[in-house]
Amino acid sequence: MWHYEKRLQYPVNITQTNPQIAKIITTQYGGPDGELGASLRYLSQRHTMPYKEAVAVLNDVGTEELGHMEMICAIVYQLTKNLSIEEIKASGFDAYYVDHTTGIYPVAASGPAFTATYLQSKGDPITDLVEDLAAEQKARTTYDNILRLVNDPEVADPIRFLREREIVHFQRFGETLRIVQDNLDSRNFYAFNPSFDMPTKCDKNC
Amino acid sequence: MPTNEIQLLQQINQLSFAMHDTALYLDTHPMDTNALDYYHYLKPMKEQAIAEYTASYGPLTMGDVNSNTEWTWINEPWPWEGAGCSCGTMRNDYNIR
Repeated sequence: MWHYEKRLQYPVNITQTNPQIAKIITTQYGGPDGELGASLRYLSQRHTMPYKEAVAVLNDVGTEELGHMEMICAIVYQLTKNLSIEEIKASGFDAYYVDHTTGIYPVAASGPAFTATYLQSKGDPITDLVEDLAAEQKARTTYDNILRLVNDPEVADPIRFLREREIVHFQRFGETLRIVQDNLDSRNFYAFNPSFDMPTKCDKNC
Repeated sequence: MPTNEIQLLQQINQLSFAMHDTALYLDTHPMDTNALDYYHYLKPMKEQAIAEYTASYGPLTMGDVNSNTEWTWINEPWPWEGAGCSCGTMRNDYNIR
């Protein structure tokens, strides 16, 4: 169960609109390595994840990603406020505008709408955690690419915060993978799938 | 799960749902003081139930963690686990050796 807090994880206050950069940044909402996919990936994978530390990390990182999705939406919203038709035409924002006006919709910078094929939930903890490690690096690269394109410090500041979080999550997922492997046979981590072949959760009241 | 834990959790669910449903009504009727009174009437009961639950059975939110020696947030059960017992021996005795 979730509760909404009426605040952003890190503040977003952009005074200069810029539809061209909004088109780029929206990819971290609905793109292949965006926050929506990240959140769905971890919150889906947590169900079959064995070992309580690993469940907690997926639950809590997946929850934080919802907050990051909200920050990206706030950035895109503030970058596209009060646009004139001339600005929309000149910035190349017209293709997005014709479908969504200035509504916030999950698309990649290259155009396609969000799809669940951006993520996997494989039901095998090593497979899922290696995907999660890759996902954090892909998002970090995307933020690096965004920072090369952005000049406005009011935009770059929250983007730098989000980039840092990818690095922290990568560290936590690395530790989680190690915890999973410590529970398995070090001579063959793949001897069985602890999510499927051997249910490991043993509630003391059961 | 002990009976008292189940009862407390049910109480929290009922009070939380009543508050949430009232909140949705208040979103479109922000000046309805009867609904607002009902919301405020439920709030301390929910807080009391949560305090009782977390004192005995662990945190419902991270902010409820009371222990100074252990991060009890990660302890099972997670709410999606259900009542069945999944503890036991190897279910599919095959391997990829």
